[in-house]
Parts: sequence; structure tokens; C-alpha cells
Amino acid sequence: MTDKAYNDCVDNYADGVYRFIVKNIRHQEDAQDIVQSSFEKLWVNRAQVLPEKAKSYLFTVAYHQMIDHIRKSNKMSLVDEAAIPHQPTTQTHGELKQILMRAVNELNPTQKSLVLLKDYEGYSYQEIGEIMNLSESQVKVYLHRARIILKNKLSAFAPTAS
Amino acid sequence: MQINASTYETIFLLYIDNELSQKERLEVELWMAEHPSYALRMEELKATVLAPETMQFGWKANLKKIDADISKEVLEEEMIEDLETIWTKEYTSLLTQDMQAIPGLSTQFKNSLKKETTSKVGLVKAFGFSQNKFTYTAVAAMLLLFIGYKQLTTPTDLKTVAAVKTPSAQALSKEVLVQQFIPNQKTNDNLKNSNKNQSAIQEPNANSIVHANQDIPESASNVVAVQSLEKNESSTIVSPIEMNVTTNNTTALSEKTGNSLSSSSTIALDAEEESAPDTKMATSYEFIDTEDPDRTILIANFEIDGNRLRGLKRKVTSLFKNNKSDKNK
Repeated sequence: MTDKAYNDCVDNYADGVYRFIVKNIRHQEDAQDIVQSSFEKLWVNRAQVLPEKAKSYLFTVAYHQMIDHIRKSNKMSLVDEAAIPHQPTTQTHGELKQILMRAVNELNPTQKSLVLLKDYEGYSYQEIGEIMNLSESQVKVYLHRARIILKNKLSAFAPTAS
Repeated sequence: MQINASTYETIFLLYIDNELSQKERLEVELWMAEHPSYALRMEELKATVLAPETMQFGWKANLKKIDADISKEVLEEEMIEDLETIWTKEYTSLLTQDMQAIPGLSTQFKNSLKKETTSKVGLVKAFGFSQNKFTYTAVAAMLLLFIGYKQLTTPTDLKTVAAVKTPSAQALSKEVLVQQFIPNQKTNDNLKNSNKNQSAIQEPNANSIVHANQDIPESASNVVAVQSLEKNESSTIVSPIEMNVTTNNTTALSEKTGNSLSSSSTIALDAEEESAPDTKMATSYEFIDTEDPDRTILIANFEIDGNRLRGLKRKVTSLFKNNKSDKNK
């Protein structure tokens, strides 16, 4: 990977990696640190990383660093969701979205990461498995369980929200 | 792919995760059109998918690196070129002239750059020692080490190897090898007992030992004569007290009286020697004055000279005392 390709990676993937991490750990400063260290690692190993694999590499590094961070400090639910600034989205059902995010935050870290990687980044089961060190079937099962949990929680919240 | 009431949920989940092929997706949509009651369940699962959300990372500029087009080598070359243009020969000559005009500057400047280093003296002072005292202590330590080493390496004075012949017939035929010290009190007591139970004359048996200490002076109780007898056979250790008495008496008898009894005992010993021709006999005597107050104290194989030790102890304690007083000052 050339220096220019690296800079392109910063432009293209920094937001995605940051979103993935900040949605998981819900702490902006820590998320920024993780993103920065992930890109530092990419820069150090740029000679070995192919440009087409750079995104996957970045997410893998960021995911593992996030897991380390979670293990070190249980900051999963220390920061209120309102503290994280959100960009205006195209979602029309704002309340439903909030309920869904609350439900996602109640998932365990693995299920949460699976949902975020699938929905935000659009990775396939195989790619998610590579990032999270899981088999494809494990990804499928865990993700389906997470969806069922979310569906049940949404159906429980939906009447009050509406 | 068969869609039915038991498999629909898994297939729907694969559908919303975009894990089905185009053909499979069409199959699912057709099945849903045929079974409209499952459309709501599909909608419920679709609701679990997170909507796209944008989030800006504000530190992108920090993550970016300098363009690789300008490499380090290129930068260095450019800098050198710039320097060459600025630092002309004239300017260099002017600078050298200035430097020569103030000859002491360079040395002074160098000295000003030097940092203070901790000297050995400083270290010694920091620990509260003066250098002389430190040297004395080191010398004392070395002396102690040397004495200790010498005591360990020199052979011990324990040469109390004795051949003792007891009245029993079995012990007579065996080698006796003893290495130990004789306590004062016990020696004296035993000698007194032997005086009481003295038997002036005994049968001139080859296996007997004659006790005749009437000719032995009282001071001889403090002198231990030790006879060593080396033989090839196994050894028997006999009590040192008995050994001393018998050896003393035998020697005294042989030296002073010179009567037939002593000669007979000597003959008996000689006869025994003859009976065992292979054995080597080496006799050595050592006199140890046990009442001497300045005698050397022997503890196992380690010898300590009391006076030397006391002197060293005094020196070391005085050093530490002086050191303490210096510290208080």
C-alpha cells in the first residue's frame, strides 16, 4: 500500500470505523483513540496490507482493540446515549429508531458488533467472521439470535412508542 | 430452498441480511405473495435492521501522513543546497576570524556545556563516609577475608591419631584412628582415676597395656601424647581419655623405668607388628598445652584467633562510631 492509498483509506474508512467503535463502546474519546491506534497500525504495516483489504484490516484491528478496551474498563454503559452527537439521518421514524438503538445497546458485545457490522458496513457473514474471528455459521446463528431479541424488544416497546 | 412454517424465519433473516441469491430472493417474495399472513412477520424482522447513519470523525487530518512524493532524501538535498547558498565562503572566513579573536571562547564554551558528574568522593560523602575511613573499612574487610581464607585453606592441627590397645583381644588386632580433642577436665579426672586404680605390674601379655603412672609427674596430665598408627584394615575409635592415659603410661614406663615389664610390653607390640607385616606404622607426637590462656581455639576445621578478631572488631566499631559523630556534625 502506498502512502497515497493510506491517505485514501483515512478519507474513506475513518468515519465508518469511528461509528462502529463509538456505537459499541459509547465513549467518544476512547473511540477516537481506538481509531487513531488502528490507523497507526495500518500505517506501520502498510507494506503488508493490500489496498482492497485495508477496510477489513482496519475493522479487524479496531474490533480487537475495542474488545481489549472493554475488558480493561467496563465503560459500556457509563455514558448516556444523549451525550453522543448524532448527525441528522434519513430515518423518518425517529422514536422507533431510538427504541431500536436502546435495544441494540442491550445486546451483548458480540451480538452488537455483528448487527453494527452487518447493518452499517454491509459486510457479508464471511467477512464479519474474518473480522471477529468467528466461523460463518457462528455469525449466522449469533446474528439471527440478535435479530430475534431485537424483534421481541421492539414488539414490546412498539405500543408505548406509538 | 423450501419455505414452510418451520423454516420461514431463518430464510427471512437471510433475506433481510442480503445473504440470499437473486433467485432465492424471488422465491421468498413469491412465497410471501402466496402467504400474506407472513408479510407482517417479515416487516417485524425488517424493523430490526439499523438505518444508515453518518458519523464524522473529526481527526482525519491528524491521521494523514505527509505526501510520499517528498522523500527524506529529497528534503535533505534541498536543505543542503539552501545552506550552500547562504553559508558562503566569506561568511565562513568571518566566523573563523571571530573565533580566533577570542581564543578562550571555545574552551570556556565547552566547559559551560559540561554537566557535573558525581565523583567517588561525592558518593562517599553522600553515604556519610570520609574517604580515609572508607579505605580503612575496606582494608579491614579485606584482612578479614584473607584470614578467613587462610584458615580454611591451611591444614588443621588436629593430628590426634592414636593407636590404642584395649585389653580386649578383638580391638587389638584392629587399626585405631582417632581425630579429636581432649577436654581438660575429663583428662585430669580420668588420670586421677587411673592413679587410684593403678596396677603397677601386670602380666607381660602381648595383648595387654601396662598402667604404671607413679613415675609420671602431675604436670603430665596437661600434656597429651598422641600416637598414630596407620594400618590397612578397618579402624576402631576408642575414647580419647583412655587412649591418653595408656599412651602416657607406656611412654613413661619405657623411658624412665626401663624394667622388664616395659620391655616385655614393647616386645609384645613388636610381636604384633611382626604378625601383621603388611601394615605400615607411623608414630607422631604432638604436645598441646590445654591450660594456656592464649591457646588457639579450634572449632571444627575453622580457626579463629581471638586477639586478632578482637583487634579487628575494635577497629571497625571505632570507624563506625567516628562516622556517626561525623554525620551528627
